[in-house]
Amino acid sequence: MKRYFKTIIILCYVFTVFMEAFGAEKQAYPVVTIADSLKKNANTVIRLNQEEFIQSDINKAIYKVTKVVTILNKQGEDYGNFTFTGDKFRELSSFSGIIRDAEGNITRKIKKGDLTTSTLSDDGLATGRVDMFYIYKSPSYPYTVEYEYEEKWKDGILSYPAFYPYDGYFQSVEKSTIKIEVPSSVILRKYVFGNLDMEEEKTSASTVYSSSSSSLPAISYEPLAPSFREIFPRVLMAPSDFCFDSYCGNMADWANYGLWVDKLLKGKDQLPPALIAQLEDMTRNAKTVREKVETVFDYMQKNTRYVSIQLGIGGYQPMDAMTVSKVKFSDCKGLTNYMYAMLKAIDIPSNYCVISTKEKRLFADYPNFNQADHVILLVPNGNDSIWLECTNQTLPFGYVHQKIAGHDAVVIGETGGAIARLPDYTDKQNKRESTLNLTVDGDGGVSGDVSTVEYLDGFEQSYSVMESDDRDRLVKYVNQSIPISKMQLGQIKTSLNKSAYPSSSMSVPFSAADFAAKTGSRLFIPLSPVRQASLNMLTAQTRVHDIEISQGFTDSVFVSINLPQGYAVELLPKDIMIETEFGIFVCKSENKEGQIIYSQTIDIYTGRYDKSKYADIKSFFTQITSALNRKMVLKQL
Amino acid sequence: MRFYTYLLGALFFLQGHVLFSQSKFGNATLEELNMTVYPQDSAASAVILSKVGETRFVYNELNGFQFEFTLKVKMKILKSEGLDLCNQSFSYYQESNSVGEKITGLSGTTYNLEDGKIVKTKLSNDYIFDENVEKKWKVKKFSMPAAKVGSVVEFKYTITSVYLYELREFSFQTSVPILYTSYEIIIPDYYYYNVNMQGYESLITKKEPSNLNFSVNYRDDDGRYHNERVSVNADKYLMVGKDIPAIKSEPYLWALDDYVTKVSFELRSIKYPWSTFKSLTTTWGEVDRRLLEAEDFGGNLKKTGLFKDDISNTGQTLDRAVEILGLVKSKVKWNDQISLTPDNLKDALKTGMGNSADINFLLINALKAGGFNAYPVVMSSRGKGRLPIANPSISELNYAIAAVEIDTLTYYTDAASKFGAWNVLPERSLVTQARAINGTNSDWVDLSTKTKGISSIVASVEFTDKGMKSIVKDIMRDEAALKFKGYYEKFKDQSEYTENLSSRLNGTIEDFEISGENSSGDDVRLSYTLMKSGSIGDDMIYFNPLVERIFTENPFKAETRKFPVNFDCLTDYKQIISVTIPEGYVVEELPQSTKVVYGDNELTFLYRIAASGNRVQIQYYYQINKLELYQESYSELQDFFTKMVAQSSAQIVLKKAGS
Repeated sequence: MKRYFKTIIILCYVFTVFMEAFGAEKQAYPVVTIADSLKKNANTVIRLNQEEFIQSDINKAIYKVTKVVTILNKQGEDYGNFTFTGDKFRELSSFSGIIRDAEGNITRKIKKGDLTTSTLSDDGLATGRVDMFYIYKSPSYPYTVEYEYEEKWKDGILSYPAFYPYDGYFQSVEKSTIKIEVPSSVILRKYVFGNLDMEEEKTSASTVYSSSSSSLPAISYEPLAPSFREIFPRVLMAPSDFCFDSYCGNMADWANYGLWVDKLLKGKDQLPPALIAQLEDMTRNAKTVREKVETVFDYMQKNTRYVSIQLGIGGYQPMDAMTVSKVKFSDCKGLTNYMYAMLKAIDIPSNYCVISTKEKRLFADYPNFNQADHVILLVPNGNDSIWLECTNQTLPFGYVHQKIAGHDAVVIGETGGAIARLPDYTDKQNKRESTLNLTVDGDGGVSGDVSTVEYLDGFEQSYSVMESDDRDRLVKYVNQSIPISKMQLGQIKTSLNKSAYPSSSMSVPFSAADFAAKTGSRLFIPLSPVRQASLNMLTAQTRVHDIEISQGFTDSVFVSINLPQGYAVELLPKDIMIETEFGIFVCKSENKEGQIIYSQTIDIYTGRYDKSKYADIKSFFTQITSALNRKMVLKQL
Repeated sequence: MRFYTYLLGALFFLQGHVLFSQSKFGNATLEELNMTVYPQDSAASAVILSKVGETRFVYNELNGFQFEFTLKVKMKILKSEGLDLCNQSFSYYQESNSVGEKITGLSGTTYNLEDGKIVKTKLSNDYIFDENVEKKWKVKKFSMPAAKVGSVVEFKYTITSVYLYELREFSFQTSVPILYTSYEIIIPDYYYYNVNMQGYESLITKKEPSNLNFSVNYRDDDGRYHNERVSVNADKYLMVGKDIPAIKSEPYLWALDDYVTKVSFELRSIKYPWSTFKSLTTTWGEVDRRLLEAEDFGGNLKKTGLFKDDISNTGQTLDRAVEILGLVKSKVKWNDQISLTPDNLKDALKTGMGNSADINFLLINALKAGGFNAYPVVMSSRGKGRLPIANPSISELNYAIAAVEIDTLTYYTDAASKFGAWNVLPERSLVTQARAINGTNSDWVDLSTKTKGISSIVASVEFTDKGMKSIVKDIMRDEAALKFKGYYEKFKDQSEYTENLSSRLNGTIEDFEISGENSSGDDVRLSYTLMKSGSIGDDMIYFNPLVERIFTENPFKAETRKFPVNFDCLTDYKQIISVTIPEGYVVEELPQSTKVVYGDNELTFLYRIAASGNRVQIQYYYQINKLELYQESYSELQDFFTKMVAQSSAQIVLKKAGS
């Protein structure tokens, strides 16, 4: 089997040489040759992806790619575009492209000069990046794009090109191969996910690693699916020893990774003497380490802001603290390092930590540059360690926010890096409580008050509105929580608990006409006027992937309704109690002499559930949704 | 209570005036640094203390006449969200390294109060960046150092430009309030500009005569070279605004830009004493003429030859016009770029892709080849904002569609719209003022009301063992069909759509059929059976027989409204429902029939219900008869939708017979 594999690769290689020598084939890649199994659920088909990476020394490499993609319909259009991002470390040395029609005839040839170049960075101040792209739109489908290009890598190689046979959902693959050739002195590290094999072939001068994949059917996107990293096969590869802009290191383990990052931080922690004196002054009367850290953190929040600058090695190395102390802005690395420097100045040791906001777990055995995208600070303090998010001016001190809670972080120190885990919350802690006291009148109007308290997620989404003092935004927020038509709102009172377990509270008196629908002598009153997180995202009949609920929560509603004079309850919806492994739904109502007391709790549990449970989860969600739509019926006596 | 608040506001207004008007550049006062809130708008995250713009005309030997636009801004940061204003960027145009607009004098200072002392931090060149956008556009970016909540920040720069027809517009209103703003321009009599003012905020404007001197080099019309000092009369305009509130977007608005208080300029003519008069734009008739003379516009209307092999003159009927539209659309697809003028008609035909004007101009030529009287209709697309009718201007136009005359009627279409048809236009071209460029008969046309969204749902409802069963037929026509087709196209397949529909209608869908969804012009017809769970056998059955609720919530939630309300298109929507009462039950109660009217029938809503025998009939009508409603009657508008939302959830009550 393996031998057979190799032959194919060699054949392919010969084929490429042939193509290069004699120019593009007049007719190639007709759509009719695509197998039906690869057309199913597909917007695009990778006909051929052939990547060849040849490293000549620790700093340099040539990366050649041939990519042929057939676009079957409009939804797949974006996959027919060419994009390349260059910087100090990478340039596009050659490029050519061909567009073919459904039969495989050439309809257009594209030269390097046809590419559009832009240095615009959307959100940052500066990146040093050059984007080169070609956007192709076709009058008809299907069509095929064929791109052949070569990149020059220089000034350092942190990772080799990752091998992803798929580029995304709704795409099938006829054939995809990669070949990484490294000098024999280089040790290649790899991480393999999914059903992919890696071949290794040694000669005296070099080692060639290769992998290949073919006839992969398209994968459909599904709501509540695991992240694409857990669905699509891939091989990540990187050199063990590397240099980057003359900073050399070794990545055999996270400890060594830490040494390299530490090297980038060296000498970046100087501060002006005046600031040091000011910090000493500010913290002199603080009794505990925590108090001191809080004082400095407060100073940092009030005096800095986030501005992204990623020039040169700036994607990995922070702006030095001295500069940040002057300009008072930087990105996550610069602000975290600035905080580190300020704490150091008052003799409080802390650690710069590298973290991923997207993936909870870092690969323990494969230290890499692919996962992490953020930096925070750890202040070790015995049993009272403090994690600091330095890239936000308004989050509470010591609050481990939802994008990092429970995530792994690499804690950087002089002795290297070590993986630590941030504290996490329970689903019960991620809660919202709403209380409504309502009085309904005989015309269906309502008056009363509502109050809500939100923690964690809800806090993060609402606290800036609460702090804004902007009535327009607050009214919008109230309407978002309580969707009643034309509410007349009184004074909206808000308060924030900006602790390490933060919450936001709001209360407001209101009245509204047409709250209850009226039919003759009857009034129909919605039981739960509070808007709930939508749970009707699962619409498909069948399921391919497991179901992942990444953020569970608890939502409770308490409503008391004073009934209008002369009315009696004709129908009170039945109490419900559904207990599943995905969560619990409970609602109860009680008629207490002219007053209805209704309570409702939705608990959704974080977890990954086997796809065989799909129908059960869907039904649980549907039952909740229809229960929430129920009304109680009053009848005039 | 309301009055009291108003008085309080007025009081602060005066105070604010005394404290902050005409804040000086070059320093920050203690009052400015100590300010913590802007009293007129406590929600403001920052306030612009001063925004001053100035345009001057200058002459230099190399480039001739140029304008210099200088902007000076000084602002106070009140909340952390306001810090976003400390990252600034603006775009400019450079044909090459030596030709194009130049930026000079970009500088800035941040003022902070530290231990009672005012500390200045200057903007360093290290944090000023240039980025290349596509083609020749560039963006200058800078970030103000040491800015924090409480800082006073100022910056300024000058753009020098030879593009006299592209004077920078000046906005007196931004996303944060402005205490003081002024704009001054001195225009030498060589140039005649339209000065377009728009917006809701009042400005103090002054125009006075002035005089300018230049030392110029020129060749006269005989080619002789001159170098002399010239003096020319000029007009000086000064516009001043004080306490201008922040501009905020609102839902149901076509283009917020229509309501920003700003001034813009359109160059109408140039007259140097040493050269002949050069007219650019003076009247809309002139705009028409200039467009027709321009090679890329008028020139592209004379290319009927492109279709000489495909189209012959076989009579001028609407059917034939439909056929030709279909032919052009099958040959060329839209590349998603909107344009007033074609790029290249021949290329578009060859490659099968073109910008919006390529396709519409090809259609016009094709129609002409077929013997029709066809012509372009130009406009400012809906998202760009309204045309300044009083000030004729080519640069305000950005879009063109096609019109054709058949007998005494005129039909319009936007051939770039995949599902568009004659008199069924996509939203971008449903504007109130478009200009039909039809030779001597050129005139204004209101396209916004040429088409209607017509939907009609007919359902028969009965009760079965499984619950409530509705057999539904849904027909969508014209604008409603156009929108639906674009929406439906995004679904992977029919089953993905029906799954979505079931979830939206809160039931299950069976026997789904669809037709017309993929062709322009045709009605879309849906038919399906909707099953909603419910149990028969209870003493009482309460149910709402409507198939769908167009509004489950009031679309107008904000307490107040500053700008007019704009709807997408005229609408004629109805549901006709017939319910068969299950055996053994009788009608206990029905909701009240209701009619709600807004204004002079601008919006109408009707819910009529009646029972007879074992049937209940419901007629549900909703109409939008006018696209723009005024903000003064906002409260009535809210009431209209409140009533409609309430009535749409009305319940029918059935009772077991004999119980």
